[in-house]
Amino acid sequence: MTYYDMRGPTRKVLPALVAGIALAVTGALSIGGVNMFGAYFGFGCVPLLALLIWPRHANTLLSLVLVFAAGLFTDWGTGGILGQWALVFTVIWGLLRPELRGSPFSTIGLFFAWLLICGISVLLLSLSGWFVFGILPDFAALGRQIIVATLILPVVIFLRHIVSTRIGENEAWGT
Amino acid sequence: MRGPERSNSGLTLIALSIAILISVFLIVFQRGAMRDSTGAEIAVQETVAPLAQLMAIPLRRVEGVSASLSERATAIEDNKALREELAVLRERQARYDNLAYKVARYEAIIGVDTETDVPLQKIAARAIGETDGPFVRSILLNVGERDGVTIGNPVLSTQGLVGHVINVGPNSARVLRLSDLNSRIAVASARSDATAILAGDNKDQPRLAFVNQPENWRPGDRVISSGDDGALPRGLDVGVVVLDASGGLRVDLSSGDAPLDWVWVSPYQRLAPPPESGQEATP
Repeated sequence: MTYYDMRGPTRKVLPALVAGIALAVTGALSIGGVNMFGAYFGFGCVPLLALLIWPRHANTLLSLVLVFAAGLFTDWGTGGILGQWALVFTVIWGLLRPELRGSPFSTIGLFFAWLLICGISVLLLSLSGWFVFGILPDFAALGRQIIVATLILPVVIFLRHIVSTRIGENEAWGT
Repeated sequence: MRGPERSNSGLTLIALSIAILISVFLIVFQRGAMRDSTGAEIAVQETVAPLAQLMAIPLRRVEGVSASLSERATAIEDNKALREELAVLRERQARYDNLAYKVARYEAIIGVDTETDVPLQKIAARAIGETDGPFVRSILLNVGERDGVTIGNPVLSTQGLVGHVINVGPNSARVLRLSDLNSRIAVASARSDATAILAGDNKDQPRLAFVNQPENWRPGDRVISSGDDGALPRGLDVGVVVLDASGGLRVDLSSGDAPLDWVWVSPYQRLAPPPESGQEATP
């Protein structure tokens, strides 16, 4: 049976906009962190969570533009290498391609996708940083950032559920 | 149930490739380039600062709870150690007062200029964001040009020098920490007056580079800013010399592991360069 998309264009734009704003806000929050147990736990990897739960039915091109812009915004906000987070965000979004997934992530699938995202970001950050500065990154700091983001993941999924049910039907936002 | 969207997959791939290429080009152009703050960076910094300030409130509370729990566990030992330290310091204070009186007398006799170049005025600021990323170690402050902060101003915590201001917006400023890869400051040993450059390498203990008189540096020496580069005033407490695994000289920063909340910006004006030869005033 031929499939006809009955959903209006505004339905697809809204999830993309909300997800883009969430990515920019988490990008802004990534300059923060907390000192506990004698170490600093930065929020640098928190924006990756927004990419993990990007709505499947969000407008594709708008999503891409927002992901790239949020990457630049994060680069400027953190005072890091310009283009570094933009590269990480776009590559991860390109690998996940939420619009090509027919069904939401299962719990195991979400976990493996998160591991993939962490691995790719460490690789890209290391390569780009090594290229610009000639040194490898502080892997301990990166590890702590990933731990913090992993701990926040359930909270982010819960918040996303609330936002998606408030703004529209949950199905239109599928992870 | 809606099926997957594939209609504009080719266009998406092209757009994705362009976005990745732009990012790569941006990264490539920064290789070996001097770090320079753009208007866009300062604008984003100004946007982010209020949000970071809002976020810092609950985070500082969490840090406070964590710190008070760990302090309670060692309170009795700390109290005993502090009492012993207080006894030693009282004796030192008495000696210091005598010496200060003597020095003041000598200075009055020989008429030397005893003015220090460290400004007495300090601008209190709150560290609202701290980037401890894989390549960047910086702090965002909630003060800016409107409060009198300028690029290059040293930033201190109660423990010692934290770094210096690298860009300023009207209401925010970014501080490059001493441990950042791009940080270079002129330092001296308070004991021997031997000089060196404190070079950050994204490790908690930055290394001492271009060490002048290596024989005059030893572990335990107190390190202060030398003021040689004219960028920072002399005498700011930096840390203590330690040896790394390979025997290299590093500095355990005074401001190293303490959580940063309130800091002070010292509105020190860096020394102006001498006039060009053509502009020299004739006597």
